[in-house]
Amino acid sequence: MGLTKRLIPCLDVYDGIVVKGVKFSNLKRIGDPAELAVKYMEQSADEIVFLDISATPKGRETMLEVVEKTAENLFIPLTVGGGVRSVEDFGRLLRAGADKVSVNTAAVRDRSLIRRASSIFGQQCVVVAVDAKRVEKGWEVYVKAGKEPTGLDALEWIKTCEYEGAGEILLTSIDADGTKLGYDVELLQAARKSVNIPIIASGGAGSLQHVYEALTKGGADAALIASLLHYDQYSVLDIKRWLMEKGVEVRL
Amino acid sequence: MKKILILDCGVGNLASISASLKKAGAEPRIVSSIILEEDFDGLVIPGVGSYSAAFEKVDEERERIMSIAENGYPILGICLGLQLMFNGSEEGKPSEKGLGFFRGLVKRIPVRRLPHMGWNNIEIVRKSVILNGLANGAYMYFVHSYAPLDYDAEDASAFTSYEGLKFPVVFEKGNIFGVQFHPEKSWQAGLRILENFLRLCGGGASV
Repeated sequence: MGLTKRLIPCLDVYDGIVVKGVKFSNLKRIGDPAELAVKYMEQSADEIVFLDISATPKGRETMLEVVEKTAENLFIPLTVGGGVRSVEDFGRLLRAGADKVSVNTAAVRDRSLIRRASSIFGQQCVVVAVDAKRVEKGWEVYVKAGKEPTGLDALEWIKTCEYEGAGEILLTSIDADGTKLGYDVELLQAARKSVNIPIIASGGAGSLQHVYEALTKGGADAALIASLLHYDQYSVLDIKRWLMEKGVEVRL
Repeated sequence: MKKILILDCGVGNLASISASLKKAGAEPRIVSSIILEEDFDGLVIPGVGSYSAAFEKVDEERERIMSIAENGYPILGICLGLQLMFNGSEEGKPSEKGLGFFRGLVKRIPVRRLPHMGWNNIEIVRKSVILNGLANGAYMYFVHSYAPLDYDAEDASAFTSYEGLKFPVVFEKGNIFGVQFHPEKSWQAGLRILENFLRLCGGGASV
């Protein structure tokens, strides 16, 4: 009994279609975002994340329509991210029906965006996505879909995000992402010690054991899952039942 | 179909509360000011964001909300909407007096890790019309850092536990109901609460 660990399916959306690709190439069409979101809700997913990877003005317009359509039938929290640059972008997505908005590059460029969005819409809806890459000492923050180094220390940056009013940190290990070799557990542990706000682990899940390690050893509050769910390898419920058997508190 | 007013407090995701009320079988209408002469069966005061921002709107509508309450229409406060049903909140200024439906004060939850965010279960401590049909231990979705920690025990119907602290999260008194979690984001368990609320609105269950 108590607060459970959350399992959050992440859907990459390109021009209104859920796609799966490795490092943004060889995109495969997976399905309709609104339908998949509801399917995962019925499998007892705790939340849903949509990531707009089209990063075009047309893609962003389509995303608003997708969010509106999804919100009509989705009764668990929905986070939307990708290409969010301003407080106005936050407002548009929240009005369309998102519960939280995730911001990455724009927050690094201007950290006051976190405080402004948080003070207008509330801390609970500001998710800062942080892409971190291992360097000689610690981890460095990268932006622009993990392509551009910033010189920022990842742990210092997430402390800043918390201070500025972020409600959650979506922490992706660039090294682990797409490898299916497991989350970067050391990064998660270090992040857990740095801030009190929830941390969502992302990048690297290739097996149920990986999810388990992120949530236990890594101390993450939630795990983002994507490829584990595609092609119906596992259902969210399969993963949760397995976690529960291992003693992790989850909601079935 | 039950006509439910949703008070637009200027912040928060009204699309989701509206969609979930529809799903539960209501005809919701989002209003930024209440017109008492219009046809309605109940009122929902939602709210996320800061106390002061939502307070302003509720204060503007105070007289009409009180009138709705006195006339026996069910009112459901959600999250910040519930917190506005107490005498006041540490998050707001002392002058920002709440609606006072429940005696008590909203305080910052004294634990290290805030916000309290995610799915937590509720322990039902007494027979409750708003929780009718829910299993003891049902999971609800929470997002908050403040809660009514000063309250009258007779008003509280369910509790949750977080970081070793147990506090009340469902309140009811006559036709006034409040929940600290988000039923509109708590899927089946949450929809059940909204259905219970609708059943109390109009028709046979007059108060």
